[in-house]
Amino acid sequence: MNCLEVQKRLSLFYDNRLSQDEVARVAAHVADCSPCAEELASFEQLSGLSQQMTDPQAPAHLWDELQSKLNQPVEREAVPGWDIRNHVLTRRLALAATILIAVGLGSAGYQAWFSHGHDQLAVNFARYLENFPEQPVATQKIFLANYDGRPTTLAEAENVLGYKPAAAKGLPAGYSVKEVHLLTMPCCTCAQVICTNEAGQSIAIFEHAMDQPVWFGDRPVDKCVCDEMPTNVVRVGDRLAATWKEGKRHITIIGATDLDEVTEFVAHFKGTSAS
Amino acid sequence: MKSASSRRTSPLAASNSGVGASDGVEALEWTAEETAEIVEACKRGDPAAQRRLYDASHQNVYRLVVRMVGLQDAADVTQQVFLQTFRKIDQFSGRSQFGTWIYRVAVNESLQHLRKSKRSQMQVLEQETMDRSPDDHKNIDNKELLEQALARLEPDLRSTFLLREVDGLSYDAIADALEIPEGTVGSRLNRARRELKQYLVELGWEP
Repeated sequence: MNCLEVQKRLSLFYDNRLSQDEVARVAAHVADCSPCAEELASFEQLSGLSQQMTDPQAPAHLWDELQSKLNQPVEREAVPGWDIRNHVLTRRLALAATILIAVGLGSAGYQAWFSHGHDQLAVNFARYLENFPEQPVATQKIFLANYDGRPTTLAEAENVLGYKPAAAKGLPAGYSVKEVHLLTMPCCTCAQVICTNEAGQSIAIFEHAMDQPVWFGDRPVDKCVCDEMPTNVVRVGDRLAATWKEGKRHITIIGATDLDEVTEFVAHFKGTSAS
Repeated sequence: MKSASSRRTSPLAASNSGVGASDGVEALEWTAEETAEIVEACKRGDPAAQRRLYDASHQNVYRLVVRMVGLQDAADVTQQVFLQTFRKIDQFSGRSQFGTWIYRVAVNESLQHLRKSKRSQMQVLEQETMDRSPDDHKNIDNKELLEQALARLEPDLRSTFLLREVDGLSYDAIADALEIPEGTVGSRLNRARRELKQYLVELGWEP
């Protein structure tokens, strides 16, 4: 093993998370390499220092304040993993709250509900963006659990959604459909297609009813024009996520290698979501 | 490699650094039956059960939240963590340890708070650091330097490092709490440790 290979595994070695074979190889390298040995020693020093940090003490009044808030009426909050009936109910509540706002009542409660639901979505999506390109299977599993993901087919998805998903009309050459799911997102029931290219690289395609800038959080957005289509693109590590409006709906892809690949998808889906 | 060390406050979920091992100690140091009983009572809104759960976990939650959002906002965010815990306790399925679940709520609430107040938070942290001259650094002990270095770390790396090194969670418990794959826990810890060392050296750390 060289220094680069060892340094990639140093935390796993330190935390005893490597196989016996890898432990032996890393230990052999560290025994003969002072920079890697120093790096390992610094991990130990960091652990020691972390143990010495002073515990901040929670204020004594915290429970009394909490108890008084617990006794107040509960506001309805957006919950990841809600089912369609809850979604409809919550939309009705949101509508009711909107009417109250119009007459000047209850605006604070509505804003708290809306803000909290979208903040949670932003946190979940930030994790998805960060982890999907490198670990698509594990990341997808967690995301599906959060948004009530149901495996389906493109034909069944069309029945549920009332429109033919863009991917039902085919994918760009060299890509194949690996999984199709329906997700209950706060905005709508959303079709998600995971496809892979010939190199085995995964790309997630979301088709949704409303624009979702919250999905990209605070990441800098590049305003691009791909195949004459205005497209918002964000960089996540060495991959791209992109979103654009296609007909009445929006398409978001995650895991593209470069802008050429984004443009390939934009051009391919052009005109597919007119219905 | 790492050896066992005593901790000032018991972790909410167990630490176990063995390959492929899972955390086996009960969350909050209760038995499975006690945990189930208290959770069920909390679901019914029983104030005594809520107090018991709070007493057993608030110090761990507060300690994590202080280092995630800063001392000034920690009490408010901690309060929000327990409001969410009690209001969403119906969603606790028992698949995770209860301690892991509370950590998840604590990290999510902290990240949401940071997202809302990102600009002001960054300004405060940078200002605190920039105000110190090199001579001042010599007078700060290493524990305080680590607190400052932690504040510079990206929130995702910070939460992973704190759960591992301060709360003593296993990789799979951290993966469960943060809802990330275990492989990501390892890569985040590697980055966190290396960046922390770099920041500490910049702040005048002399190991």
